Amino acid sequence: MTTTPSLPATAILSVADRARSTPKRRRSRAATWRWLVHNVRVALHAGAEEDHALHHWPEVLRELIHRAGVALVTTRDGDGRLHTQPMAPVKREFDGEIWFPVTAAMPLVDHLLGRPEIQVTYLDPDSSHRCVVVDGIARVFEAPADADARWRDRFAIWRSPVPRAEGPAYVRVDVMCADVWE
Amino acid sequence: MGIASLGTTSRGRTLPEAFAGAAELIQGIGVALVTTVDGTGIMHTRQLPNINTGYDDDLWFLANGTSPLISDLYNHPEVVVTFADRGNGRFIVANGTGRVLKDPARVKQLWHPVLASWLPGGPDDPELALIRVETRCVDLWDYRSDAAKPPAGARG
Repeated sequence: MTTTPSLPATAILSVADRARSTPKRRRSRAATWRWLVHNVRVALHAGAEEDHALHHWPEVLRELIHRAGVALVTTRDGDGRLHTQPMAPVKREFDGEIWFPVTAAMPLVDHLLGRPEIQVTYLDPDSSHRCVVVDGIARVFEAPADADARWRDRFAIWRSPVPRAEGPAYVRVDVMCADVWE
Repeated sequence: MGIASLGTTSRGRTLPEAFAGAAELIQGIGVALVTTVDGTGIMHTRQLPNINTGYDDDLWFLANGTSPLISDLYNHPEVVVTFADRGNGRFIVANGTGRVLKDPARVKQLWHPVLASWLPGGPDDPELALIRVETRCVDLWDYRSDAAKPPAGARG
């Protein structure tokens, strides 16, 4: 399991404030199922970060996320432009968090430091038109220094080893809501 | 297994070699993912039926004129269109500007019977909106490729 580096309480609060000021998304007719994590905001605000892992994620959502090896990640840059790229999330049981190995040099990291809103789309590999669209707030963590073997393994997705100097890091997405599209 | 950027192109340029199969890829895809930003800055990704039959600097879509997608485009025309070839792990990601047009002649030309399940009003529905996405920059991504090239993003 992934270790969560501790964050100062002020950072946690600022994320929670941002989340609280985000209006609820309009419900779209085509979305078959949708889950809103009401308790994430409360949990973050109280500093109880792990609480939302207790949220009962529907099996269909967890199963689809597990099967999809690749995710499309959409962020916005400083000019408000949208950027989408495929990313490989860390393989783990879905509990309301998604982790991506990145390097600090990636433009994606710059975007997220400016605007932490992120959208992650998982495509069902066995269907031509089923997908899960997940909205969340992203935070960037430096890969722990004592976790060399682990991060080397996970960063192997980039096909070439990521040198330490490039700043191996993780993006953690705290999921706020998820839509399953059929 | 791995993620690799196979190439990038922009409007008006001759297509790089990597885009050789792009037209077939787009033609073979039933639904495209269209991402917009609403008036409050929240991103929305929706599936739209794909009526594009090849690679072009302009991409076309038909949608219900009352859908939130249309108001998003009026507020903030920035749009990303993703064509995902799930079987082969190929992704075409097109960034551009989405314009909502009224052009009944063009709608009739683009109409395909398969759209009837998405847009039951048919090609003569006055609510029907025609969207032209003027692409600015298009990336071709490969997942599962053996190409030893790291993604453009990883190179910074």
